[in-house]
Amino acid sequence: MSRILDIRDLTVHFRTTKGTVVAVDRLSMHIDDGETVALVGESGCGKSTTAMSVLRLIPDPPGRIVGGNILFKGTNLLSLGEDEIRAVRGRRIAMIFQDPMMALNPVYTIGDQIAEGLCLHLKMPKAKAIERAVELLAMVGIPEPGKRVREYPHNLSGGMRQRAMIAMALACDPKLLIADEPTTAVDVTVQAQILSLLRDLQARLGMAMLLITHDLGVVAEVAERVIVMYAGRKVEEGPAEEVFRAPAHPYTEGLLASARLASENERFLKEIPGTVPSPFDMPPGCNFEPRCPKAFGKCREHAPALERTGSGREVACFAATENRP
Amino acid sequence: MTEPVVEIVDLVKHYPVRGSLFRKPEFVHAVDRVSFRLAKGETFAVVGESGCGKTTLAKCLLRLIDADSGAIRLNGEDLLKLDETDLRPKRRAIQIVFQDPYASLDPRQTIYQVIATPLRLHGIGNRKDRPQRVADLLKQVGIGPEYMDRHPHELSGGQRQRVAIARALAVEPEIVILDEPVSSLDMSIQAQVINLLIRLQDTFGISYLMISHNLPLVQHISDRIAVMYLGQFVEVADRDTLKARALHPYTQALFSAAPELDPARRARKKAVLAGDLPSPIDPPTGCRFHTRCPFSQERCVNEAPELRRVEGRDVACHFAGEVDLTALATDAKVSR
Repeated sequence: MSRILDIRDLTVHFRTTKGTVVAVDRLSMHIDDGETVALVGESGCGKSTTAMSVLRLIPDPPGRIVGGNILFKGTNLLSLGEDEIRAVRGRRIAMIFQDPMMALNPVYTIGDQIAEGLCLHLKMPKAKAIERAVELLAMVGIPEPGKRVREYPHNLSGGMRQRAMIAMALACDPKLLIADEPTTAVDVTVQAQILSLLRDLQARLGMAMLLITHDLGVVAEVAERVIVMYAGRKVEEGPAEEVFRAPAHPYTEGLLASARLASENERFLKEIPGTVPSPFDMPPGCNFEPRCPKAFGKCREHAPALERTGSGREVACFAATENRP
Repeated sequence: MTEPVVEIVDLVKHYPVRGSLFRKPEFVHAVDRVSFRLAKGETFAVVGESGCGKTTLAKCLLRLIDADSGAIRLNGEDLLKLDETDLRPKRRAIQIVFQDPYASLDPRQTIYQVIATPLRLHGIGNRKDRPQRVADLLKQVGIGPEYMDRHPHELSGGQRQRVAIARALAVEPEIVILDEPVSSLDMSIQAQVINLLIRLQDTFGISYLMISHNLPLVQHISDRIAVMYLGQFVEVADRDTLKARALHPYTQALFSAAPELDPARRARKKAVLAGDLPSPIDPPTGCRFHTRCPFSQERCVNEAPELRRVEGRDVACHFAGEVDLTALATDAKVSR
């Protein structure tokens, strides 16, 4: 299996009036051909910044990629010129967003918006591109695609818009699909439809998928491998089944414990105390130390490095990797 | 059952839309003949997807909007019959915590003002002892007195929601409406806020009306649950009754759609409901769910099912108990 995306030591800073924020701190991760990897964490953990960095969509200023490489099939995306990265966006790497109403242009028909990428990247004639758009709409399960292709985003329901956006992303047959919170804005029955569609398309088209989400349920439904981020750093990585069965990092463990409420017959939920640290006031050692039930002396002084704990598994936690007396 | 704190009887709210001189006005059937009772210290949840009318129901209860017909009896007195002057003192009894604490707190007020304002409006306490009362309320929700002079933007989402909860509690309400109280919060904060709500209920004996789309969460904290679809309750049951078995196909679909936290069970057969919610402007005839229900028959198209007692709960389905969506589940879409 070949490596389609390889991020090495990515560091992204944002300059603000209050000082510099380290949004992503030396993140390394990879995705193999046809694989689905979930980047999971809470708001501000750096997961969306990572996704935007891959497509070089970080607004500069205030943001800046200050270190690392992003290799897409061996090419460093960070060293490409503006024209070259444009040829990658939408063609080789496509993205779908949380809110389709923001991502779709209200004054163009669905068909025009899908055809745009085909005409631009594949130099397809307009009439042929519209024909292809109808096929794509059918592929994502939109009924009456021949009619819908001439309609505007406001004519479609929320679930249909999300499907249309997926069709648009898949138009040029990308090798990697980045899905940023693809089901956060939709209802639970529609979420189940979209997740089942993404699973199905991914298997059929053999593309790789980077799923950005805060929802562990979505991770469990779709991802093969999961990367947990906390306050800009990767804290744990592993095959989804293993991480859900036996989380190694206390943060992952805490999140799973509080999310698994139905199985518990206790009145109170398991909670992680405290809040995510302010990006202007990061703890000196491990970022999770102030909230961690397993923290000890060393955690306050040094940030733990990622350590391999098994096949494909990594964790950045002294309590998980060291045998203490 | 003890006397209910509040009793809703046949509440109806239709919004007019698109009416014009030449066109007959149409109506959004937001809430259609909804009835329930809420006992002291009880948590009653209304679960449904966006557009099902659950938030309209909450607004009617607060009389932020006026219902078209029906009754809202607070300790026996019908709120819909009161004029604005008589209503004002009663408003104290029903408070609300909104979903988004970024939108529900006035950015220009300090935290002290946020909580002191309802105290002042309802004439609770005097100016001298108000700071102490505000500090006590903040303490109840886990916010230190040092936050009193700060503004909402200096607080995290979780802290803001705690302040919103303190504001709701300030006037000693009998009922607090929780409209998606944790769905805009970060994962690690959701459990903290839920636990806080449970503790506060234990301490003050408040009744909660919880509005949510999250069936698993609702199941954890509610005593009774109503599932709402296009303005109507389709199933109303005790938590444990519903947990044991859902009878309405829509309730079954909601349970089935909720993601499970176990990747190993991903391959399991899943009942994915086809289609979207129909427009509430012109809801389907007969059973409103029949356009998405895989068991729909001619009777469902023609005859609206009433809520009736089946296996210890109220359910509005002609074939309740005979149909099971999960049994015919495939990973492909369930469709007629």
